[in-house]
Amino acid sequence: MTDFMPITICIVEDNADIRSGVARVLNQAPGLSCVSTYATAEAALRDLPDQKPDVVLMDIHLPGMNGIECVAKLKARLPQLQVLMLTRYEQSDQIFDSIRAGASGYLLKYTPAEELVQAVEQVHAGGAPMTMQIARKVITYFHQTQKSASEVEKLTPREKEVLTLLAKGYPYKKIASDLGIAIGTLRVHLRAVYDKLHVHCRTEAAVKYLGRG
Amino acid sequence: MASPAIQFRRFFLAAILICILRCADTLASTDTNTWFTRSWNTYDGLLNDQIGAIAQGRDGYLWVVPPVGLMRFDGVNFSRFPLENYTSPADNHIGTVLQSRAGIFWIGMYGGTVIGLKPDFTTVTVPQANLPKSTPFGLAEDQEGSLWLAYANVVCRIKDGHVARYATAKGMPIGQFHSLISDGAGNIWLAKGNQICVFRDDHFEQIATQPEVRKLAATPTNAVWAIAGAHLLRCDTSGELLDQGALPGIANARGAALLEDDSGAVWIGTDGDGLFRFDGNGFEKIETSYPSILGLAEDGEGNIWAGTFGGGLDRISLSAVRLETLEVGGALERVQSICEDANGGLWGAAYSGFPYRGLLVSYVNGKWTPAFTNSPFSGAMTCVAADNNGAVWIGTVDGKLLRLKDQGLVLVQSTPDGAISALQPSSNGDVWIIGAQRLQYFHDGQLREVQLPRQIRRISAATEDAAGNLWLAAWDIVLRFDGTNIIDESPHLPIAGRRVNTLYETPDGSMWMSGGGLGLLRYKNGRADCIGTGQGLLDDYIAQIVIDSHGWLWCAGDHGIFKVQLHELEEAAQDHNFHLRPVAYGQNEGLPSLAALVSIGVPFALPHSLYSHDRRVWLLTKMGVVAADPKLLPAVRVPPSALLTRVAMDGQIIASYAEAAPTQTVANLATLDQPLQLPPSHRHLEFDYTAFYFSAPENLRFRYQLTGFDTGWIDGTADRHADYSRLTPGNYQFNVEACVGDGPWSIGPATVSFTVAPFFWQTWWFRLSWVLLLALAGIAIVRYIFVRRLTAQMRQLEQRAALDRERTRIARDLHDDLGGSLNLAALTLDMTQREQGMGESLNGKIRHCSTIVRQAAKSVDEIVWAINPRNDTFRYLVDYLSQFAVEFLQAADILCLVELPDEIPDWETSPEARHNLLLVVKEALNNIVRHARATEVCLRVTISQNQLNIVIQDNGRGFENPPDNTTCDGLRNMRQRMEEIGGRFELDSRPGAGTRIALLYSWPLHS
Repeated sequence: MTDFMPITICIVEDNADIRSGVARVLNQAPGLSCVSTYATAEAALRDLPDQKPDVVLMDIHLPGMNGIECVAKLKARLPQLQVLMLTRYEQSDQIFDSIRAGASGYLLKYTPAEELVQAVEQVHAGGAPMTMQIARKVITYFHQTQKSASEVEKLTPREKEVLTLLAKGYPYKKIASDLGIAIGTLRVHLRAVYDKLHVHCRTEAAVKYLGRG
Repeated sequence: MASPAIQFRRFFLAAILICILRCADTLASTDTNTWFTRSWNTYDGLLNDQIGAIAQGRDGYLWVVPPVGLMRFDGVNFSRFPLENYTSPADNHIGTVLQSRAGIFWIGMYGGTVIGLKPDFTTVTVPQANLPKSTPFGLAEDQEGSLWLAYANVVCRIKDGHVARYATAKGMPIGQFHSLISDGAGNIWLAKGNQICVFRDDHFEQIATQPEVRKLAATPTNAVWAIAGAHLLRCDTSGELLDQGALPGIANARGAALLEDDSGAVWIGTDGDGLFRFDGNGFEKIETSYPSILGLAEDGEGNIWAGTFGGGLDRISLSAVRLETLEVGGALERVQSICEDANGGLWGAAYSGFPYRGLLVSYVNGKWTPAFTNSPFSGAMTCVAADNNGAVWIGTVDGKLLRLKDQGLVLVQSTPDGAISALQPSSNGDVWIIGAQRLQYFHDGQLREVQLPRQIRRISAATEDAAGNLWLAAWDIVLRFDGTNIIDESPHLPIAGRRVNTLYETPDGSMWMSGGGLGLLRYKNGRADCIGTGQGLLDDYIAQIVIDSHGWLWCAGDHGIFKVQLHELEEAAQDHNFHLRPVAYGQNEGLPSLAALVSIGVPFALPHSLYSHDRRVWLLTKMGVVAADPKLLPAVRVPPSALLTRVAMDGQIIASYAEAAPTQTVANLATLDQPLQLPPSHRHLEFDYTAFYFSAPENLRFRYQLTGFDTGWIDGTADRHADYSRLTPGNYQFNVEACVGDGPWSIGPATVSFTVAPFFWQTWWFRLSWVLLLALAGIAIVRYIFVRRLTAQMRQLEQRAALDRERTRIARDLHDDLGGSLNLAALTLDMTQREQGMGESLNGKIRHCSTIVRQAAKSVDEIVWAINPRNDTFRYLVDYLSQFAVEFLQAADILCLVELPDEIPDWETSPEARHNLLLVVKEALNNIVRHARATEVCLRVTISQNQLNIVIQDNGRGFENPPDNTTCDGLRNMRQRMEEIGGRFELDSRPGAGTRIALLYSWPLHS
């Protein structure tokens, strides 16, 4: 493990307790390094790109500029950046907006420390966690935009299958076994869905968030 | 002296005149002319019982001159004419009057004022200054239309406004002035002193000398009548005097008034010896109310009017209705049954005095006289009747049927059981014999009896109809005997409790009944109709009926005698709004009250009325036999024309017929040519009107109509008054017409037009403003309500926004402070756990503690979620529920399948509903995890316009009854929570078949 560079992480969170708490949890974990924390989106936008972290944990609700806009702007400058949104509760609209803005998943703030660490590692490894609600939204989104989308941006049948089962509430394990694929493959599919979503949204996001900046 | 040729001519003319008069006399004597007098005096409204001159104005009014003032008379009412409008109020003694051919009414006042009233009541200009300042006693109009005025010692002529005086120098005789007249040819005649003069060649030529000459009267030619002492003379312009004879029985008569009427008869009024009529043949004394006659005039209908010195105003006319009494010396003598024999002889049964004596009487030379007084049956007669052959049958009080034969009385049949009330010879030759309770008939020399029903107590009327049925009335029972059967007709008749005392069939087949206040009841073709005083019938108690050949039904009742046209009765029977036009007799003819006779000795006697072959109507009254000769009834020469006399508004006269002074603001109906203007505030309008039929003023009938209000004529009353209450704005015309009996209505109505002005609120501009005002008010109210509602909504929204802000703040605080701290605590515990050197037991405790803290943090987040107003929509609710279910069940290793609608609407939901639904779903999921042993759960959510439907179905073991109390409480809680938010909770579970929970939540339809 020591041969590898640790995963560098930045946290954007306005609540100082959580900010420091999460930072400590991450720093305690082997292979993870929280390099900087920011209390506001503005501060993050100013200083974070210099850090070039691997993963950003971004609170959705921030004073001033919100987390979603911040994600969009960061992703525009650091396309390789993996972003996990921090949220208090399942707000699928905002989570989906964040994902469209470039985030690769989200974490509830009361997630136990172990799961937090796992989630960061997973996203860095290319995983893309997706809940039932997000799956529903993705399906709806692609359904609406299908006609205008180019061939590349369309979902593959397998991806659609995965999403459909996910939207029905099936857990990963069950989907993987039902479809006869490994969980890892399932994650790859989901990652592809995220990427297509990001590509899809880039123009839109540029207009929506970057155009103003 | 006159030449022989002239003398011959005089003789010739006189001979012709005598011939004419003789002829007239012969004609007149074919009927027994009876003159009768009707008087009006101060009781009737005259100002004074002394009446001098009388004249009929062109409008129809009779001018009547009392010693003071001037009156008008329409036949019913006297009204004072306002002389003060034309001369000074002190100037109210009239010397003489003259109605000129040109229609001007000339008035010569004491003191010399001369007034000429035109038909429109404006005055003729009189050269008053050139006239003597003394009283004119005579007025005359010559053929040129010049006015002549006779004063004590001078006669003046007004011609073309110039006054010419004629005194002794112009041939005026010396002596007292008596008379100034113009004859039919327009010559001016003067009687003065002992001289009779004619005006010729600009002077008065004395053509005859006659002592005691007093009054002159015009003839249609150039001759005059003169009264001198008791002698009536005729004088022509040559001066020849023809003595017509002397007034009978008066040595020293003083002529006071003289008149030749339309028929050529001369009326002589004397000063103290009464009134005489000279018909060319002789003198007839005419009864008057007072022996001194001051004035005579004839009206347009041929009535003679006499002004008396103390009896008021007398009208003398020919009577067609006579009252004939029986004179046998008894205290009470009345004819109670009457019939006519084959020769036109009239017979009657009369009773006389007390004790009862029933006499047979016959009508001889205009008098009812007892017949066969020495017959053994005399004194017992009750009724007489003539059969079709003119044979006279007589009934007696002791039941004997007699017959008049060969100038003697023959006993035909004795009947048992008392008096014969009525005899009714039948068309088939039988004679019906009617007693009090018995009906018999005499047939082929034999007496037969018809058995009457037992309830017949007392027969009160009987008649035979054209078909030969005998009709009987016994109080309120009417029977018909058709020769075989007795038919009770009473059930078809509205006569309960009334005494029917008349039955009479008219040629049209109607059976008429009366008595007991019924009026006239017509029974025809099974239909009964009553006609009463309400429809103009003059009496509701009619005892005798007889029809004449002119279609008049003559009736005698408690209120006397009248006639009414049968066709009018038929119309009245069919149309209850139809008004009859009956003609009454009695009062106008100067007769006493003529109540119909009530029989004595027998309940009723028949026949009691007769239409004789000489076409006279005979009716029997308490005062005697009434004989009416329709041929002599005064003919209505022209339809009477109506005249409006007054219009009053709220008791105030606003228009009158030449009554008001020019200074008053009262319109003159004689000249009114534009509509009256009435204010909108009037409450009551009254119209008074009249018409002229002096022969029988009570028989005038009026009809009126207010166009613009009435749809047709208001018919046929004798009232001379109509009133209306408040009229709406608009134009109106009041019309009134008059008629006499069944005669024609006036040729054109009397009318007055008027306009009722609108109240200001009835004007179009006011109404328009009112509508506008209402519209504005409506707009203002709507606006006010709208603004209020908007304000309320705004306030509500503000409150809600404030509440939402507060909720947001609480949610944020909870999250930021409490949530943050709990998360930190959990993270800290997680990290502590990882630190080395802790025992396994401590590690476990820390893990447990961390789980609790994390659970608390999660709960806080859930609370925050629930509080946050952002989440008050179905979409958030459903999102949250489904995600929760999936995660919650995944944690328990149960597969959760979710079926959600593609689109979940963003409708708002109340926090209560959201909270309760969430808790119920959680409870349901908890139960599944704890009890169901399910491996799979399906959560299905459907949303319609007004309903949210959540179904949670598991594949667990299911249950029949709730397995334990806790679950039972849980189920009850869930049901209660759903009911709290107006929803429904359904549970469906069977052992081995899983459990299905359905939650239904409805809300009012989203529009």
